[in-house]
Amino acid sequence: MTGAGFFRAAGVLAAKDLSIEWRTREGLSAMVLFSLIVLVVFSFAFDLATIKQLGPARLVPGILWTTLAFAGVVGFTRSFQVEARRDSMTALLLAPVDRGALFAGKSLSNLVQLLLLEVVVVPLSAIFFGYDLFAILWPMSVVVFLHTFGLAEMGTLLGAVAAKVGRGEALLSTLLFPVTMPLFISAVKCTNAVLDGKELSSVSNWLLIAVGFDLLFLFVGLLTFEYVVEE
Amino acid sequence: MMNDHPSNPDPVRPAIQVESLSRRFGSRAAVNAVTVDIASGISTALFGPNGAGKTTLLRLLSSALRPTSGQIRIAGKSYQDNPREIRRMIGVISHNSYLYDDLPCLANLEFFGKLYGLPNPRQRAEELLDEMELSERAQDPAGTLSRGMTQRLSIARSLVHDPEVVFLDEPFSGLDPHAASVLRTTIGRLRERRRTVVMVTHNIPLGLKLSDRWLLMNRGRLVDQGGSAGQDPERFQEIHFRKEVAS
Repeated sequence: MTGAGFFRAAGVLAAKDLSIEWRTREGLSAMVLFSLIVLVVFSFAFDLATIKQLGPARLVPGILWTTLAFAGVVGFTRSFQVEARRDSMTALLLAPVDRGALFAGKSLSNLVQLLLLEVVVVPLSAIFFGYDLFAILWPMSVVVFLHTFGLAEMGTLLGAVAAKVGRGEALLSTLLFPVTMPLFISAVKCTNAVLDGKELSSVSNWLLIAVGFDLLFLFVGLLTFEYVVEE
Repeated sequence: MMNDHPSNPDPVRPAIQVESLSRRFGSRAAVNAVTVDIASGISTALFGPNGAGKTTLLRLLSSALRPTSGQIRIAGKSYQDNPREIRRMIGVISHNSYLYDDLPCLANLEFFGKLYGLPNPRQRAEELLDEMELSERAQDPAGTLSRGMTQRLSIARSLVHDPEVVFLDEPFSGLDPHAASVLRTTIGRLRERRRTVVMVTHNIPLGLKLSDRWLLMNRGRLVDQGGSAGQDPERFQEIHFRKEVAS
């Protein structure tokens, strides 16, 4: 017996993080509140006439992904604060599990929390900016999932870097946004196409870029997490 | 899970072999060319003044820290070649509890049991809570426990996988008398079961009492070592202090 296997260890860690979040609701409630405030502010910034004139496809992608990006930073930071409080990251590193499994577990719990946030935020954006979400539910879900996957991976890796050097959201934002810029550009382009009623095939290049970054971030995270968290 | 261990540790092969081990932080050598063998199944107290490098050495031995140079072998295996196998054999008790304040005591132990791949982590968690006299607090979040109770839960966490080698870093600091008594009993049980124990402590009388052998560190180097039996703590402290001043 040499400890849990890769997938089992990742699952155990993700379940632990989600269990803590379920008990405290600290991270998710902060993310939802932040997102709600941003959406309300933007909905007042653009009156209904302007929204109708420009159309949701011009406004929503930028607002939605800016909101999710900054809300994500709150979640990624919280994810490592939980480990820092009693230095439990050291206990994770002392356990007989692959460091890649620790990255996978943390990424998975961050992904689930971001998806839960999006279950609230995307319908709210439909209400605030007047578009029919049910008509575009499937393509919107694909776009949101593909881009959230990459965001969760890189957010987890860079969240670990920020936690390691003892800095919080400020450093994480500084590191995360430049690195994930291609992913956000793809997200905005794809969301714009979906809201314009176009087929996903019309943005297949952008979707391929998103998948490429998802895989790149996944491999970079699996391979480098060890060097990020170990002293 | 107890069956995984050899009934009698190999008395010939050292449990821990350290060779020319160094760890530098910038230009400062926290641990400097330490070479030592620690026999299997004995308890060793690691003494030294503040900043001597005791905790750094313990962190290196437990793989919480990477060495700048040198070799560590646990049960004849190196971390480079068998990291998971070695981590399965060691447990660490630190002044940090390594626990999750928002999880109940039982869930904390169960989580670590699962991480170590135990076949029945819940049963093991319940056994340890009972052993540490914390069964009544099983469903309370770890963050609501007193310092002494937290340390008892932390001991349970470190022993969840029944490790062959246990590292303790200042385990008695800040403990109430009851928690200290539980810890002494736990260390006594580990010695009875011939586990290898390495304990960093400033408490020389207690360290000598709970160990078979002592090591003395100063300024990152191992400066002396010997057997604990028959040592007079006061005299030892005089020598210990003299070495500290002299070096």
